[in-house]
Amino acid sequence: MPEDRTVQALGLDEYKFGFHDPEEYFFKTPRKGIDPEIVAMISKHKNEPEWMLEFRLNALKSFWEKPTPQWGGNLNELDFDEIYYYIRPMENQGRSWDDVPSDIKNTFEKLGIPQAERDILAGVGAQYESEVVYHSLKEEWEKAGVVFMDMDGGLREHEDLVREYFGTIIPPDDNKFAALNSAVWSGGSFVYVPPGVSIDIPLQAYFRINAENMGQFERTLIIADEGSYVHYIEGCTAPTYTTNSLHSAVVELIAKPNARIRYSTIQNWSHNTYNLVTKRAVAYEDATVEWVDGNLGSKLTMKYPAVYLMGEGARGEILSVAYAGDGQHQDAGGKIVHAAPNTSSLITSKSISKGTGRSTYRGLLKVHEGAESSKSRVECDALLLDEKARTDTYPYIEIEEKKVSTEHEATVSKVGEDQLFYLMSRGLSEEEAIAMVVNGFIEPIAKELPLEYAIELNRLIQLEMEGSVG
Amino acid sequence: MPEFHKIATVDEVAPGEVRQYLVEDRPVALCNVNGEFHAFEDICTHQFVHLSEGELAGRELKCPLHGAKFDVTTGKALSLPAVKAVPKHEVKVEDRNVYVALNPKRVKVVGRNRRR
Amino acid sequence: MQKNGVPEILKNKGVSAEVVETLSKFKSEPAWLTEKRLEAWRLFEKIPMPTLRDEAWRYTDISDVSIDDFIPYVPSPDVSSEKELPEAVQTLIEEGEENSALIVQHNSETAYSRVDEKLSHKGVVFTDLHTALAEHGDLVRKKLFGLVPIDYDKFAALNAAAFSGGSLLYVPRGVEVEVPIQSYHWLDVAGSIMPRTLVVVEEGASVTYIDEYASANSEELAFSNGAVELYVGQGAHLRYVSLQNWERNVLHFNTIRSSTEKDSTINSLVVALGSQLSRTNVEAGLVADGSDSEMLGPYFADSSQVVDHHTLQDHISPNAHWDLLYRGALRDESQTVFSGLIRVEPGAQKTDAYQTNRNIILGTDDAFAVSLPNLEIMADDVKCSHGSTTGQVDETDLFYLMSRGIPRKEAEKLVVFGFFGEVTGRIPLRGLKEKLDQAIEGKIGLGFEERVA
Repeated sequence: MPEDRTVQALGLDEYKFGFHDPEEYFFKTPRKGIDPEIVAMISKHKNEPEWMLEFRLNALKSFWEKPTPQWGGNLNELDFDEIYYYIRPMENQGRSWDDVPSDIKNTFEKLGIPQAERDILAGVGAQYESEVVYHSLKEEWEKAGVVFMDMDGGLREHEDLVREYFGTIIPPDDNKFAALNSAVWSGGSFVYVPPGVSIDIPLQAYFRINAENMGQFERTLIIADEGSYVHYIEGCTAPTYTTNSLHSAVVELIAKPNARIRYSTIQNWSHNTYNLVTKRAVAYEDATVEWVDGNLGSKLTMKYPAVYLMGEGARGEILSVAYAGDGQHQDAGGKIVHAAPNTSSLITSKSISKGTGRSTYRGLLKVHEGAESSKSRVECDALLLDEKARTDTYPYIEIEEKKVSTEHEATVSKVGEDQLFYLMSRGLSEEEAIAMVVNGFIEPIAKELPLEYAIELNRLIQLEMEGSVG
Repeated sequence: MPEFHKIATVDEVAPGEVRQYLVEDRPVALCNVNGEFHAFEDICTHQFVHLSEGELAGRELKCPLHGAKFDVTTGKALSLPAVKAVPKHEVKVEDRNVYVALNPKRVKVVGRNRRR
Repeated sequence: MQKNGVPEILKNKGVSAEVVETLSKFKSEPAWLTEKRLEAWRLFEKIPMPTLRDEAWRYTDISDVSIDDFIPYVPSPDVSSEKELPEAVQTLIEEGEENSALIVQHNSETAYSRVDEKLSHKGVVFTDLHTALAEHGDLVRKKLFGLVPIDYDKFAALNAAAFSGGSLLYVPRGVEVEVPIQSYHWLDVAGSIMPRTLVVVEEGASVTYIDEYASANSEELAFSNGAVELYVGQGAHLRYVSLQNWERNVLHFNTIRSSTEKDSTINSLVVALGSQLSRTNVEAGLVADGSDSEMLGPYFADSSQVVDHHTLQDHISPNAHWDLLYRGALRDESQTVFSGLIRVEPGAQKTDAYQTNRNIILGTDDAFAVSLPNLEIMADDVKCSHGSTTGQVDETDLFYLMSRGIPRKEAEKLVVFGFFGEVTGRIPLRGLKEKLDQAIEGKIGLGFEERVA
């Protein structure tokens, strides 16, 4: 294990490498794998304050000390030494759509972001090879004091605010992948919404992994001050490569009293990506946090969005939909911790397993003593579409307070013969009929997504049914 | 009136250190913050592990399992995943000896042996 | 039942290879069994004691449990009639279900056994395991350790190494035993009891078998470690009851595992009311097609009791129907753990499997209920579901009773009684049901004179 060294002692300089078509890189880490030198290099290039470098280096130690978890999906083929941990594109952040380099624009075209959207959207942060390239923030919200920028910028321009919250919801020692992210994080979003401000249009961000052996380690921190509201949408996609990619993000949300945060994701990583994410929120008095989580891609996803209900009257909701096709394993779910009275929670999980796919629900419902008059309901439904498909449900229910009402229900079934028969007798092909049933199955969650996402979700599922998607 | 137990001499725990002592079958963490002694139940309120195995930095003690931080002067949980404060014990120092009176409150955490 | 005195080494605390071998010789066992016992002992030594870091023991702390604290073998006097049994046992028998055959294990030995002539005529065998080994050696050899193998876990290894007493129930083809068969385990010393139950119900036969566990009050810790193997043949029917009501000084460990062949039915009722710590693994393994089952599990924990049930329904072939209902109440600083896994293996199509766990918390707020309903489904043409609820006494139920003039405290008790009624109502054995109702009433503190309907 390499020794820790300070940035000065390392005396690092920038490297310039030859570039590959069609991608162009300004900077690429000189080697695969991770060690303090690389971590220090990342920090230096971002001109980070000393405390952040220390934070990163301590996290790296933690990452090495923690064993790879064996309780979830199969991580044993993941080789940490075969990944590049940092790439920064050539251009700096632009201010409007025109400033964005053309090939990046092309990528967005391929991803299908409608032109019309760009007018409506408040701001778009796009992550291209670990660095936020494009960012524009609508003037009126800037005036209201809303901060929406990349995490690097957030650290630079709002250091005190970031320092107060960064790593307090998910400490680097929380788990191996939070430690990894804490060491090499790059990109992601920083959002601050001042008291009383309501952002009506969702903030969005798109990511893309576009190089062989790229890791994605974005870090997002959203602080919704008292009485504010924000809806943040994260969606990503990555093309297919033969070697494994790793996506290990950390998202921390803080909802102060009476605030509301909704965080929606549709994940459609290519089927050779490991998607290991730690997402956690804290909701104070009368605040609400909603996670809407769609897992369609990746080879293995392990993700359990969590809400800690810390103030009286707080509410947490997790809507999760997972689709596991051939060779995929979606290991997802949600965690809710009731730590104050009169809190409520709802977890709805819908999963579909097709071919040899495996979908797993893993969840925690914990009610601490003193969380009187709390209510919780968990509903997990799984749909199996093929004989070889598999589904598991592993909920942990720990109740320490008697004055509560908690309910948990799970069902597993296949598409009913009668349903299929009925639809096919109306002229639909078998695939179309199944697609329709599946869409109906996930409808309660799909309807919570913004329309274009719902459409994208339905379209993707349709494609999966028809077998035309990988 | 809670009974005071002599658990250590002032030299046993240097400033910046934390050590575990067993008092009436309960694990007690004793730490020294710039010469001031603080004692609390040596069990993390998030998951069963001894906090005394973690790192003490100033008045913050970091749990070795998941990194939750506690303020040793108040027992309060400063970061997730810990949510509940750890019960503090009364401490008095007399004649270079440290005495601790146990707080009847106990850490309620999964796996804690209730039969003891 | 022993002619010779108990060897000295068995009178000391702790188990060792020497103890195991001495025990086997003392019981005049065949060589194959002595070998097996020693193999089990070696395994026991190798397997580490479960800690809170092991998933299956995540919530139950047994770090203070050590077999070195207990005497492995405690004798008891032989009796020739029921009247000579300890008073408390006689009471239990009287209050229990009418029986057609009876075995009483007193500490580590079988004190008394009886089989109605009607039954023995039909070829029903019901005797302690040691006698069974002598008289039905082949049958025992074939089946023993078949469902709870010596390597199932550390406690099973210990039982395999040091079991004594126990029973074999064998019901031949087509024989229907109408009146239940009863087995009592009575402990009145601070030592250990390690019974092993083996039930074989042949094709088309049917029987009800009740295992009951009770003890005399004592301050000193005692240790009960049992294993139960239930073989249900094709088209056969077994109703198995495990009624655990030890005193508060007992640590209870038990594994009950069944195999049900084609078109057979098993109804199991596992009751946990007593002991200081109770951990029972109830496994319906090897569920063959067409089989049908109902698993009921009422439990009630108070003071600082810890009651832990780990259940498994493992469907290996199609068309099985399985229903599990475990309901528990907690009060004071007790802790209950329910872990239930429904596993459907590839090919087990048309499986119908359900699991429900309901917990009700009474009294103070120090109780801790854990529920872990799990599913692992690898066949698609199935219907599986589970549900779990935890909370306090339902307000609407309370309101209904209070609106009829019943004071709140009484109404609460009635609701809890009704809560268990959902399970006890499914028991067709009158005597047993009454016994259970009384025990539950006692735990709630009902003290009603009239019977509640």
